[in-house]
Amino acid sequence: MDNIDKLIEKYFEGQTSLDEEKQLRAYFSTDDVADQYVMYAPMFRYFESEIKEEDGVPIEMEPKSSKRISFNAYFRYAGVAASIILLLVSGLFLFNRGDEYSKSMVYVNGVQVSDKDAMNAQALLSIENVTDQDSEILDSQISVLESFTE
Amino acid sequence: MKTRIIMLIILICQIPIYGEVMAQDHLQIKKVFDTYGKQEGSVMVQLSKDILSQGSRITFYKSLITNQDVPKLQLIIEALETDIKNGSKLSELKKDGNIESAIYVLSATPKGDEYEYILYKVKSKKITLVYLKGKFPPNELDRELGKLKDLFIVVNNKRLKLQ
Repeated sequence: MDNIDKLIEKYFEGQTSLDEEKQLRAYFSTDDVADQYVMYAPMFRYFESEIKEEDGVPIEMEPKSSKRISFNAYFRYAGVAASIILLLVSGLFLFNRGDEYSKSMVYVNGVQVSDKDAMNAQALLSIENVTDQDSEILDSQISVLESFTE
Repeated sequence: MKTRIIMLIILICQIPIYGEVMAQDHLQIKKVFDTYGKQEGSVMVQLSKDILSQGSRITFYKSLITNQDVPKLQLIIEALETDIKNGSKLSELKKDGNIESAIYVLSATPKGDEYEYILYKVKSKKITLVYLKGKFPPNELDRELGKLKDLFIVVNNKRLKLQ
Protein backbone atom coordinates (compact mmCIF):
# COMPACT_ATOMS: atom_id res chain seq x y z
CA MET A 1 0.00 0.00 0.00
CA ASP A 2 2.76 2.41 0.90
CA ASN A 3 4.42 1.44 -2.29
CA ILE A 4 1.34 2.41 -4.30
CA ASP A 5 1.16 5.65 -2.41
CA LYS A 6 4.72 6.51 -3.34
CA LEU A 7 4.24 5.43 -6.93
CA ILE A 8 1.17 7.61 -7.34
CA GLU A 9 3.05 10.54 -5.84
CA LYS A 10 5.96 9.94 -8.20
CA TYR A 11 3.53 9.57 -11.13
CA PHE A 12 1.98 12.96 -10.59
CA GLU A 13 5.46 14.47 -10.26
CA GLY A 14 6.33 12.91 -13.61
CA GLN A 15 9.11 10.82 -12.12
CA THR A 16 7.88 7.29 -12.63
CA SER A 17 9.76 4.85 -14.82
CA LEU A 18 8.01 2.70 -17.38
CA ASP A 19 8.13 -0.27 -15.04
CA GLU A 20 6.62 1.74 -12.19
CA GLU A 21 3.82 2.97 -14.44
CA LYS A 22 3.22 -0.60 -15.50
CA GLN A 23 2.94 -1.55 -11.83
CA LEU A 24 0.36 1.19 -11.29
CA ARG A 25 -1.69 0.14 -14.27
CA ALA A 26 -1.58 -3.51 -13.19
CA TYR A 27 -2.68 -2.58 -9.67
CA PHE A 28 -5.60 -0.47 -10.86
CA SER A 29 -6.75 -3.09 -13.35
CA THR A 30 -7.55 -5.44 -10.43
CA ASP A 31 -10.76 -5.35 -8.42
CA ASP A 32 -8.77 -5.02 -5.25
CA VAL A 33 -8.12 -1.28 -5.26
CA ALA A 34 -7.99 0.35 -1.84
CA ASP A 35 -10.69 2.90 -1.11
CA GLN A 36 -8.32 5.83 -0.92
CA TYR A 37 -7.07 5.08 -4.46
CA VAL A 38 -10.42 4.39 -6.15
CA MET A 39 -10.56 7.90 -7.57
CA TYR A 40 -7.43 7.21 -9.67
CA ALA A 41 -8.71 3.92 -11.06
CA PRO A 42 -10.57 5.29 -14.12
CA MET A 43 -7.48 7.19 -15.20
CA PHE A 44 -5.06 4.25 -15.02
CA ARG A 45 -7.57 1.85 -16.52
CA TYR A 46 -8.03 4.23 -19.47
CA PHE A 47 -4.28 4.38 -20.01
CA GLU A 48 -4.13 0.58 -19.78
CA SER A 49 -6.70 0.22 -22.53
CA GLU A 50 -4.92 2.73 -24.76
CA ILE A 51 -1.48 1.23 -24.54
CA LYS A 52 -0.75 -2.34 -25.59
CA GLU A 53 2.59 -3.79 -24.84
CA GLU A 54 4.42 -6.27 -27.01
CA ASP A 55 7.88 -7.49 -26.35
CA GLY A 56 8.27 -4.89 -23.66
CA VAL A 57 7.96 -1.99 -26.10
CA PRO A 58 4.83 0.11 -25.89
CA ILE A 59 3.09 0.45 -29.20
CA GLU A 60 0.16 2.60 -30.25
CA MET A 61 -3.29 1.19 -30.73
CA GLU A 62 -4.08 -0.07 -34.20
CA PRO A 63 -4.77 2.77 -36.58
CA LYS A 64 -8.39 3.58 -37.40
CA SER A 65 -9.95 1.23 -39.83
CA SER A 66 -8.35 1.54 -43.24
CA LYS A 67 -11.85 1.13 -44.69
CA ARG A 68 -12.74 4.63 -43.40
CA ILE A 69 -9.79 6.20 -45.18
CA SER A 70 -10.72 4.41 -48.41
CA PHE A 71 -14.26 5.70 -48.18
CA ASN A 72 -13.04 9.28 -47.77
CA ALA A 73 -10.71 8.93 -50.74
CA TYR A 74 -13.51 7.44 -52.84
CA PHE A 75 -15.77 10.31 -51.85
CA ARG A 76 -13.17 12.88 -52.86
CA TYR A 77 -12.47 11.33 -56.24
CA ALA A 78 -16.19 10.93 -56.88
CA GLY A 79 -16.58 14.63 -56.19
CA VAL A 80 -13.85 15.50 -58.69
CA ALA A 81 -15.41 13.21 -61.30
CA ALA A 82 -18.86 14.73 -60.73
CA SER A 83 -17.44 18.24 -61.12
CA ILE A 84 -15.75 17.32 -64.41
CA ILE A 85 -18.96 15.77 -65.75
CA LEU A 86 -20.92 18.82 -64.65
CA LEU A 87 -18.42 21.07 -66.41
CA LEU A 88 -18.70 19.10 -69.66
CA VAL A 89 -22.49 18.98 -69.57
CA SER A 90 -22.69 22.70 -68.78
CA GLY A 91 -20.37 23.44 -71.69
CA LEU A 92 -22.52 21.44 -74.09
CA PHE A 93 -25.65 23.05 -72.72
CA LEU A 94 -24.17 26.51 -73.13
CA PHE A 95 -23.05 25.70 -76.66
CA ASN A 96 -26.56 24.68 -77.63
CA ARG A 97 -28.32 27.49 -75.77
CA GLY A 98 -25.85 30.05 -77.08
CA ASP A 99 -26.65 28.89 -80.58
CA GLU A 100 -30.32 29.89 -80.12
CA TYR A 101 -29.35 33.50 -79.44
CA SER A 102 -26.65 33.77 -82.05
CA LYS A 103 -29.09 33.36 -84.94
CA SER A 104 -31.45 35.86 -86.41
CA MET A 105 -34.99 34.68 -87.03
CA VAL A 106 -38.45 35.94 -87.81
CA TYR A 107 -41.86 34.58 -86.90
CA VAL A 108 -45.02 35.91 -88.54
CA ASN A 109 -48.36 34.55 -87.30
CA GLY A 110 -46.55 31.70 -85.63
CA VAL A 111 -44.70 30.60 -88.76
CA GLN A 112 -40.97 30.98 -89.09
CA VAL A 113 -40.18 33.11 -92.12
CA SER A 114 -38.20 31.54 -94.87
CA ASP A 115 -36.34 28.34 -94.91
CA LYS A 116 -33.75 30.18 -96.92
CA ASP A 117 -32.46 32.16 -93.96
CA ALA A 118 -34.04 35.36 -95.17
CA MET A 119 -32.82 37.28 -92.20
CA ASN A 120 -29.17 36.50 -92.49
CA ALA A 121 -26.86 39.35 -93.39
CA GLN A 122 -26.30 38.28 -96.95
CA ALA A 123 -29.99 37.89 -97.69
CA LEU A 124 -30.83 41.18 -96.08
CA LEU A 125 -28.50 43.04 -98.38
CA SER A 126 -29.14 40.91 -101.40
CA ILE A 127 -32.09 42.47 -103.22
CA GLU A 128 -33.15 39.27 -104.96
CA ASN A 129 -33.95 37.74 -101.59
CA VAL A 130 -36.08 40.56 -100.24
CA THR A 131 -39.56 39.30 -100.86
CA ASP A 132 -42.84 41.10 -100.23
CA GLN A 133 -43.12 39.37 -96.91
CA ASP A 134 -39.62 40.44 -95.95
CA SER A 135 -40.56 43.95 -96.91
CA GLU A 136 -43.55 43.89 -94.58
CA ILE A 137 -41.30 42.75 -91.81
CA LEU A 138 -38.81 45.49 -92.58
CA ASP A 139 -41.61 48.07 -92.65
CA SER A 140 -42.86 46.85 -89.31
CA GLN A 141 -39.43 47.12 -87.74
CA ILE A 142 -38.83 50.53 -89.25
CA SER A 143 -42.12 51.66 -87.71
CA VAL A 144 -41.14 50.18 -84.36
CA LEU A 145 -37.81 51.96 -84.36
CA GLU A 146 -39.31 55.21 -85.60
CA SER A 147 -41.89 55.17 -82.86
CA PHE A 148 -39.16 55.02 -80.23
CA THR A 149 -36.87 57.59 -81.82
CA GLU A 150 -39.31 60.31 -82.91
CA MET B 1 -5.37 18.88 -50.21
CA LYS B 2 -4.48 18.50 -53.88
CA THR B 3 -7.88 16.95 -54.57
CA ARG B 4 -9.62 19.87 -52.91
CA ILE B 5 -7.65 22.36 -55.01
CA ILE B 6 -8.56 20.49 -58.20
CA MET B 7 -12.23 20.43 -57.24
CA LEU B 8 -12.17 24.12 -56.42
CA ILE B 9 -10.61 24.97 -59.79
CA ILE B 10 -13.22 22.89 -61.60
CA LEU B 11 -16.05 24.56 -59.71
CA ILE B 12 -14.67 28.04 -60.40
CA CYS B 13 -14.45 27.21 -64.13
CA GLN B 14 -18.19 26.59 -64.14
CA ILE B 15 -19.08 30.06 -62.90
CA PRO B 16 -18.62 31.86 -66.25
CA ILE B 17 -20.54 29.08 -68.00
CA TYR B 18 -23.53 29.49 -65.78
CA GLY B 19 -23.10 33.24 -65.92
CA GLU B 20 -23.32 33.19 -69.70
CA VAL B 21 -26.41 31.02 -69.73
CA MET B 22 -28.16 33.10 -67.08
CA ALA B 23 -27.48 36.36 -68.89
CA GLN B 24 -29.96 35.38 -71.57
CA ASP B 25 -32.59 33.69 -69.51
CA HIS B 26 -32.89 35.67 -66.34
CA LEU B 27 -35.49 38.10 -67.64
CA GLN B 28 -39.22 37.70 -67.15
CA ILE B 29 -39.98 39.25 -70.52
CA LYS B 30 -38.48 36.16 -72.08
CA LYS B 31 -41.74 34.52 -71.02
CA VAL B 32 -43.66 37.11 -73.04
CA PHE B 33 -41.65 36.42 -76.20
CA ASP B 34 -41.90 32.68 -75.68
CA THR B 35 -45.65 32.77 -75.00
CA TYR B 36 -46.82 35.22 -77.66
CA GLY B 37 -44.00 35.38 -80.20
CA LYS B 38 -45.13 32.45 -82.28
CA GLN B 39 -48.85 33.08 -82.11
CA GLU B 40 -51.35 34.06 -84.75
CA GLY B 41 -51.42 37.83 -85.03
CA SER B 42 -47.84 38.29 -83.81
CA VAL B 43 -44.66 39.31 -85.54
CA MET B 44 -41.46 38.47 -83.73
CA VAL B 45 -38.06 39.45 -85.04
CA GLN B 46 -34.78 38.40 -83.53
CA LEU B 47 -31.58 39.87 -84.88
CA SER B 48 -28.22 38.73 -83.73
CA LYS B 49 -24.61 39.56 -84.48
CA ASP B 50 -24.80 38.07 -87.96
CA ILE B 51 -26.89 41.05 -89.06
CA LEU B 52 -26.23 43.63 -86.41
CA SER B 53 -22.46 43.69 -86.80
CA GLN B 54 -22.95 45.89 -89.84
CA GLY B 55 -22.52 49.32 -88.31
CA SER B 56 -24.57 49.11 -85.12
CA ARG B 57 -23.38 48.63 -81.59
CA ILE B 58 -26.56 46.76 -80.83
CA THR B 59 -25.49 43.16 -80.25
CA PHE B 60 -28.90 41.58 -79.83
CA TYR B 61 -32.37 42.78 -80.82
CA LYS B 62 -35.69 41.09 -80.27
CA SER B 63 -39.03 42.68 -81.03
CA LEU B 64 -42.61 41.54 -80.70
CA ILE B 65 -45.63 43.18 -82.24
CA THR B 66 -48.83 41.57 -81.11
CA ASN B 67 -52.52 42.30 -80.71
CA GLN B 68 -53.48 43.96 -77.48
CA ASP B 69 -55.44 42.03 -74.89
CA VAL B 70 -55.76 42.08 -71.12
CA PRO B 71 -53.83 38.88 -70.25
CA LYS B 72 -50.93 39.97 -72.42
CA LEU B 73 -50.83 43.41 -70.87
CA GLN B 74 -50.91 41.86 -67.41
CA LEU B 75 -48.06 39.47 -68.15
CA ILE B 76 -45.97 42.23 -69.69
CA ILE B 77 -46.50 44.67 -66.83
CA GLU B 78 -45.60 41.98 -64.28
CA ALA B 79 -42.51 41.06 -66.25
CA LEU B 80 -41.44 44.69 -66.59
CA GLU B 81 -41.87 45.30 -62.87
CA THR B 82 -39.54 42.42 -62.12
CA ASP B 83 -36.96 43.09 -64.80
CA ILE B 84 -36.53 46.81 -64.17
CA LYS B 85 -36.13 46.47 -60.41
CA ASN B 86 -32.44 47.30 -60.53
CA GLY B 87 -32.69 49.53 -63.56
CA SER B 88 -34.24 52.86 -64.35
CA LYS B 89 -36.75 54.56 -66.59
CA LEU B 90 -35.30 56.48 -69.47
CA SER B 91 -38.75 57.59 -70.46
CA GLU B 92 -42.30 56.66 -69.52
CA LEU B 93 -45.63 57.97 -70.71
CA LYS B 94 -48.81 57.06 -68.88
CA LYS B 95 -52.43 57.60 -69.73
CA ASP B 96 -55.21 57.01 -67.20
CA GLY B 97 -52.67 55.29 -64.98
CA ASN B 98 -51.60 52.81 -67.68
CA ILE B 99 -48.20 52.83 -69.35
CA GLU B 100 -48.58 53.82 -72.98
CA SER B 101 -44.95 54.01 -73.88
CA ALA B 102 -41.68 53.44 -72.01
CA ILE B 103 -37.98 52.87 -72.37
CA TYR B 104 -36.02 51.25 -69.58
CA VAL B 105 -32.41 50.37 -68.95
CA LEU B 106 -32.16 47.25 -66.83
CA SER B 107 -29.11 48.11 -64.84
CA ALA B 108 -27.20 51.26 -63.94
CA THR B 109 -23.95 49.50 -64.80
CA PRO B 110 -23.24 47.32 -67.83
CA LYS B 111 -23.08 43.53 -67.63
CA GLY B 112 -19.69 42.83 -69.04
CA ASP B 113 -19.58 45.70 -71.52
CA GLU B 114 -23.25 45.58 -72.50
CA TYR B 115 -26.32 47.41 -71.35
CA GLU B 116 -29.78 45.85 -71.61
CA TYR B 117 -32.85 47.82 -72.62
CA ILE B 118 -36.57 47.21 -72.86
CA LEU B 119 -38.81 49.33 -75.04
CA TYR B 120 -42.57 49.07 -74.70
CA LYS B 121 -45.51 50.71 -76.44
CA VAL B 122 -49.25 50.22 -76.60
CA LYS B 123 -50.92 51.97 -79.51
CA SER B 124 -53.78 51.34 -81.95
CA LYS B 125 -54.62 48.05 -80.22
CA LYS B 126 -51.12 46.75 -80.78
CA ILE B 127 -48.43 46.00 -78.19
CA THR B 128 -44.83 46.52 -79.19
CA LEU B 129 -42.10 45.07 -76.99
CA VAL B 130 -38.42 45.32 -77.76
CA TYR B 131 -35.50 43.86 -75.84
CA LEU B 132 -32.03 44.77 -76.93
CA LYS B 133 -28.47 44.65 -75.72
CA GLY B 134 -25.65 46.87 -76.81
CA LYS B 135 -22.21 48.16 -76.06
CA PHE B 136 -23.34 51.70 -75.50
CA PRO B 137 -24.68 53.70 -72.56
CA PRO B 138 -28.30 54.87 -72.26
CA ASN B 139 -27.59 58.34 -73.63
CA GLU B 140 -26.60 56.78 -76.96
CA LEU B 141 -29.62 54.51 -77.33
CA ASP B 142 -31.45 56.91 -79.59
CA ARG B 143 -28.54 57.07 -82.02
CA GLU B 144 -28.13 53.30 -82.16
CA LEU B 145 -31.83 52.77 -82.80
CA GLY B 146 -31.55 55.29 -85.61
CA LYS B 147 -28.64 53.36 -87.18
CA LEU B 148 -30.60 50.15 -87.07
CA LYS B 149 -33.61 51.82 -88.60
CA ASP B 150 -31.39 53.18 -91.39
CA LEU B 151 -30.15 49.68 -92.09
CA PHE B 152 -33.69 48.46 -92.58
CA ILE B 153 -34.55 51.48 -94.72
CA VAL B 154 -31.57 50.93 -96.99
CA VAL B 155 -32.62 47.39 -97.68
CA ASN B 156 -36.24 48.30 -98.13
CA ASN B 157 -35.38 51.15 -100.49
CA LYS B 158 -33.31 48.82 -102.61
CA ARG B 159 -36.35 46.66 -103.02
CA LEU B 160 -38.59 49.60 -103.83
CA LYS B 161 -36.09 50.87 -106.41
CA LEU B 162 -36.20 47.63 -108.26
CA GLN B 163 -39.97 47.83 -108.46
